[in-house]
Amino acid sequence: MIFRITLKELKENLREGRIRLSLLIVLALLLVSVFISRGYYLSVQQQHAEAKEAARDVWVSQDEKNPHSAAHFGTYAFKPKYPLALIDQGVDKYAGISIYLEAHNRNEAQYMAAADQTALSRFGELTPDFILLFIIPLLIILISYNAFSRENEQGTLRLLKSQGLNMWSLAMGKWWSVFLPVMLLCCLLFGVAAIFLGSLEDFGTLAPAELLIMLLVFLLYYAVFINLSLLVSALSKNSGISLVLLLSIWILSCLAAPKAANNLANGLHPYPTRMAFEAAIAEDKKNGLDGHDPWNQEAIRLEKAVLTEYGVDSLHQLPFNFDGYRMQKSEEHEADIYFKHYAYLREQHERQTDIYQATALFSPFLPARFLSMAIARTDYHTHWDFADAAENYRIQMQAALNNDFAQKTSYGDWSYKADRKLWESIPDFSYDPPELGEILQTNVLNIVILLLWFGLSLGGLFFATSKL
Amino acid sequence: MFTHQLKYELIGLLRSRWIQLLSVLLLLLCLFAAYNGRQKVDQRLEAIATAQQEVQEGDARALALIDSIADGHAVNVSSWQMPDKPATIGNYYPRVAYMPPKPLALFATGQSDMFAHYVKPSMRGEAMMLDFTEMTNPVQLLFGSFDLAFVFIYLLPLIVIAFTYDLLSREREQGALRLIAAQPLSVLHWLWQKTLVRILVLGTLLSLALLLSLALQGALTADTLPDLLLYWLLSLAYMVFWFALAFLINLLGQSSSQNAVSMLSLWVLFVLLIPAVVAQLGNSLYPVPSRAGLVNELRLVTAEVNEKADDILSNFLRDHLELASEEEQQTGFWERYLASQRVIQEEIRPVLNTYEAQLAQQQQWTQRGKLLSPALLLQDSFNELSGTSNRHYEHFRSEVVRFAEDWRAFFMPLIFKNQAVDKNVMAELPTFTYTETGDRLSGFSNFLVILVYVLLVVAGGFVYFRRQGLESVLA
Repeated sequence: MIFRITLKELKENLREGRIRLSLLIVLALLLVSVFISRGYYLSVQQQHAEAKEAARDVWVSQDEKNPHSAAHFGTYAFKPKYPLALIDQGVDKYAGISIYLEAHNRNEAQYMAAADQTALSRFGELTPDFILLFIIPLLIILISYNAFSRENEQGTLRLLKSQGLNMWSLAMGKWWSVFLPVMLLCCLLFGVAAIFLGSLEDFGTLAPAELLIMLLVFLLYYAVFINLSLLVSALSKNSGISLVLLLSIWILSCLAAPKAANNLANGLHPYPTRMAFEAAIAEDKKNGLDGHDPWNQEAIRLEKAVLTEYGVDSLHQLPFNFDGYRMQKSEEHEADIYFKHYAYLREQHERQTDIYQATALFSPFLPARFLSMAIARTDYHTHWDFADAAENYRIQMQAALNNDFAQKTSYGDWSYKADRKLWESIPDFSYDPPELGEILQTNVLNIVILLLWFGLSLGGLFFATSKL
Repeated sequence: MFTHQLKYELIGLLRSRWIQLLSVLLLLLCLFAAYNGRQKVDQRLEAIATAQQEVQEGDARALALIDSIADGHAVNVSSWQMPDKPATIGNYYPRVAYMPPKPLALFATGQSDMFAHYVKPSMRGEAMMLDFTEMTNPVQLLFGSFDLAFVFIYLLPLIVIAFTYDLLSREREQGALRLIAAQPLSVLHWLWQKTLVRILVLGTLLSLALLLSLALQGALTADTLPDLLLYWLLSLAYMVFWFALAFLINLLGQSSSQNAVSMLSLWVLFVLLIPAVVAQLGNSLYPVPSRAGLVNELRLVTAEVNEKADDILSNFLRDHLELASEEEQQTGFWERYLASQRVIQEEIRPVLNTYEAQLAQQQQWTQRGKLLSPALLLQDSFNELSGTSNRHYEHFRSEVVRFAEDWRAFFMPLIFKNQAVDKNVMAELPTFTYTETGDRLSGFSNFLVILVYVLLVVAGGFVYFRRQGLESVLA
């Protein structure tokens, strides 16, 4: 029975000009956006590869110099783009792409793409995620806003009832008739994306499972919207009201709720300004161990401690260069200061995330949004992960350089110059984004909320149809 | 006749639950949005005030030290932190270069969540390369802010749509339209007046909500009045544009729900799709070259320049004889550094110019593209009037770069001539003052363009009605 209803509804929908037209428009938009996205992805990937190679080249081919001078010269970590960014660009353009790794300082990622764009792009861009997250739910509303209200207006509902038709079967028939074309559309998009991704050289890192799970997230998100649309349509007196109500729901969950969550999060748990953050770190550093300043109080204390530990009475008698040793101790101390301040930043970020998740109870858009960009590795969490990896690399790099200086020279000897061998002995920075399992684990709440939305809206639909 | 209809429609509207609900909703949305805007502006002001206070405290400490040194007391400060050295003041006692919010900044967040409102450029001369982006959760930037601009650009049209989608079709569906048509009046005029009444009602509500929410946030002062007037005109024009569309759609003679679908499709077109396509085209046509590439280029130039630092310094002193010390030629760190910084800047300038040129091209494209949608015109004007547009931040940036040059120029002679910083020098330190870059003209021209849109749509309605005749509406 459900099958027959689905077939009839499908035929009817496809006969309607506006639905055919909007399906075609959405399909065209999707294909164009994937195509644009592919070009963008390829060019960014190439830029990244070139920059990474050049940065390594600059590092290993630097002149012979004191290891600590090389530490100040530093190098760069570049954030790679994950292939699934092709489908969801997430927050990528609002996060920096490169981190300068130098002695004494943990730097923030620089050069967000959005800073090189006009205010217009804040409206959104023609990317697959824009179509998938915003436009397709609208398409669903357009197809199904009058599913029940029209039957009601035309009096056919009464006829159907008199035939003894189970209203739940009717609802399910209508449900599938909306879901099937949308699913087809999505599968087509993901199919095209898979072909593009398959043609990439670094496709190896991408498991088909990820594409599939992303597809499932979107389908679940659409199922919620179909439930809601049918629910509202069953409850509304006429189609016009149903449409206006559904649009209000759409705007609330896709535009208003995320923005309101933003203001709430920023009001309650604001980030410090960049200047204030840097000033706070500088203040902490001032009171601590300064590797460049042997007369600094902390440095004198360290000197005494080391002398007693080795049972000698002059720094010259130490088996290593105390300058290098102090430099490394100071580096470790500074890394701790950064760790403390970044821990605060992370805390603020986690509190903000909690607010987004609480708001997700009012908006099915939010969990879908966060899940999809998490799988695409274009979310904020991945950015943190990258920044942390870069910081770890920086700490190891500093340790290698300082230790080389401390071991190979004696106290007071600043004339030592290391060469290419040392530069090459420090491995190139490479970053692997978190694995799928880990991502699903951190996003378990988003999954639960999305499922909750699905369950509740389906229950609502069941309840509403039983009352028809 | 019109007064009769006005009275009848007004009573009908005021009694309608739907309208009461919408007015309360509009008011609440405006209040919430204005509150959010105020909060952001307050955060901005607070950050600037804190930074300035820190500078004052730092100055007081420096002055005390300078006094002690002048009096011949020993001070417990390491050599590179001695405030009587010009390089110390130039680097560790920078001024706050800040961009104060415009009086109506709370109206549109614009780009203000992305860029910093104050920086402290030091003598090192990195101002040109300074990262002006603010430290923020990128999710904040992705979702944007719930501000008045959002309420007006996105939500107001939807309220208009809810107000008008069945303006004529409902009368037809209830059978009243034929009765009205039988009366000695033109259906066109009747519909026109009906629309006008709604424009008046919603316009009044909108104005009240706007005034109330701004008044509550203390943004209603005499100096905001000209800007506010322009905001108000723009918002009204935008609202009238959506009414005009409803007028046209109602004349097409479709059913209420078809009208609603048509109106919503237009909303999606003007508010979502056209902006997205224009933005995408701007980025695709004028892509900014790779920033990742810039990073390496800058490093290579710097390394090259550092290698030649000594030559550069002597060339530099040859060009700037006034800076050469009369005593023996000093070739200290700062002399060398400043001289080579200048060379680096000169070498990297052309590369940076390519970024600015592409961004300027994008900007130009946007200026043309905005004509395609009243929503874009409105966003452009709102950001412009709130002082949160890209143009404002670029202006701030160039002001900072100029100030950083002044700051450095102030210290250069002191360093090269080995002069100590005393009280007088501290009193003469350059200070940053932001010069406003107001532009009401573009707001007004955007207003006119929206009016042209309105006229075109209304004229379209009239022409269609003349061609199709009454029957197409009645059927």
